[in-house]
Amino acid sequence: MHERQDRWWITAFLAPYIIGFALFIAGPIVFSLIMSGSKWSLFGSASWVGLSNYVALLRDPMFRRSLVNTAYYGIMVVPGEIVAALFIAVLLNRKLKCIGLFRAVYFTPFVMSLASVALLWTWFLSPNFGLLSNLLMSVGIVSPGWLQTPALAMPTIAAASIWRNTGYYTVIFLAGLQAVPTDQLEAAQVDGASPWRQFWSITLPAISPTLFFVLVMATLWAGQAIELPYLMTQGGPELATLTAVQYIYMNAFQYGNMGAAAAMSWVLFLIMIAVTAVYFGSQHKWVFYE
Amino acid sequence: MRMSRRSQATLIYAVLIALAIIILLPVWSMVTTAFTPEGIVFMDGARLWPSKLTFENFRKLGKAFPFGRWYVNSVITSTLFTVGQVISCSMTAFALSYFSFRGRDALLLVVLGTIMLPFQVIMVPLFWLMKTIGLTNSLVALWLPAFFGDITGSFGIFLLRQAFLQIPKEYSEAARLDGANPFKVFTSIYLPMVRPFLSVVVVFSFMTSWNDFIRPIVYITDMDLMTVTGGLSFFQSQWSVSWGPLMAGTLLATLPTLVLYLVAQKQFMQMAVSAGIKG
Repeated sequence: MHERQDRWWITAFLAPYIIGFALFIAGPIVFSLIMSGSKWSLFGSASWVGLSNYVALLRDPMFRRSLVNTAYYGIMVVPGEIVAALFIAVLLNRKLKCIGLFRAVYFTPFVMSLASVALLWTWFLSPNFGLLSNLLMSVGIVSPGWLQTPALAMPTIAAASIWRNTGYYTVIFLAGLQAVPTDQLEAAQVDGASPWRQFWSITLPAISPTLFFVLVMATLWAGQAIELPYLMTQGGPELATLTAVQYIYMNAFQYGNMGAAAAMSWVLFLIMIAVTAVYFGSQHKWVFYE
Repeated sequence: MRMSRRSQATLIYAVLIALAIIILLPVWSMVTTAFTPEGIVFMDGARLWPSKLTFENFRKLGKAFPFGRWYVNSVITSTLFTVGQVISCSMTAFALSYFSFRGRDALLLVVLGTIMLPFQVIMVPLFWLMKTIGLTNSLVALWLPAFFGDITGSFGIFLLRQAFLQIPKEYSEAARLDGANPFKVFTSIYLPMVRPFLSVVVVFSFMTSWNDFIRPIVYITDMDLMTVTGGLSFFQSQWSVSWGPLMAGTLLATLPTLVLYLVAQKQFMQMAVSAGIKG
């Protein structure tokens, strides 16, 4: 009975999102595609160059390096976060005193901005002056320059990232663990199955949808990494921590290569979509929805 | 060999405490350095326990950077961003749950799809857009998109839509029969009934905006117009400023979200859990 008026109301309620989507999301997506096919610095005029930005990327060793670095970072961060979070979640998933307090403490780093995390870790790891270096010194270990050594810089940044995000994924896993059938666990216990065995054959399949979600989220986030390397190492030493998004940012706002930056962002996005597609493709093998 | 229940609990506590120390140690180092006199930090570096306390670092921070201005900027930005996102997300969620219309499910998919979209794909065009309409070097660029959902709005829209769907139709139908229009249904029935979820959106939006680093450094170059989090980018290039004031600044930068976390822990946990349910 309200149908006619309702159409007006639907439009009114949706207007902000639709306008915002057109202006701040869809428009920029289309524009970004066009830009990636143009030669364009911020202040000059634009000219259409077709795919040549993309072709140039293939020959850009810095871009290749940044992609390899990003992948390396992801390969450390994604499994690191998942294993750590799952381990802690399993530890916390029992009725013991103060469990809530521990959960709250573990979540704390996630509340801080990545920029703050970058700065406090840089100080914490600072050679000769940082707390870690001083603590190691007191037991007779001279700490290496964590962020100054090319081979150590990226693993160190990955550690800082794992430190920050694990608490968040722990809470997600804790929620997922509530879906584990306790009667099955009890039966397995009676049958004398080891805790390890129980985990692999009962707990893990039950939380596989959560695991899948965390895998996708952690991967997407890792692919977008910029704050930590930007602030902790500025991409150095010797480009060891230059991530893709950082290089895109440099191209756009420091070198003024808007077109190249847009092309790079699409290449990165397509890679991320491909990785996610592989995840989704593998889903039927290991993710069990009830 | 099986462990007794008692020794198993002891072992678990030992691991939990060790993990807590790993989590808290870098944070602790930030706090103590912020309150330690520069001279001592310069001589000894960071220690577990500061031998002397001072507020000197905070004064030096204010001298080296317009930190007070950044703080005001961040408070304004995050407040407006949060207000905008609560309004736009709840309106969109209401449209996607109360009404049924052609294309509704497609629109919901679009909303959820934006979760996948990385900011850097639209970063350059957005910068150009903001520059063209004269919003670069203005806080408006940081909060205005929130009134239109923003790329980060899909979380709030999805969460509130799920909450709205739980409300029995009878409530709104009765109100409509009494002559209430959809706006009235929205404000006097739907919104009050999902208050716990609204507070989760508030917490999420505030944290998103306060902690945002990339947008401030893309849109804003004028130092006085920076936000606190974006302002941290100036810390690295200031070699003349020592770690005492820098840690004082980092501490102040994290304080609002930490305090919010202390008072609204439940909402933060809910935020994480509902992000997981989506999967």
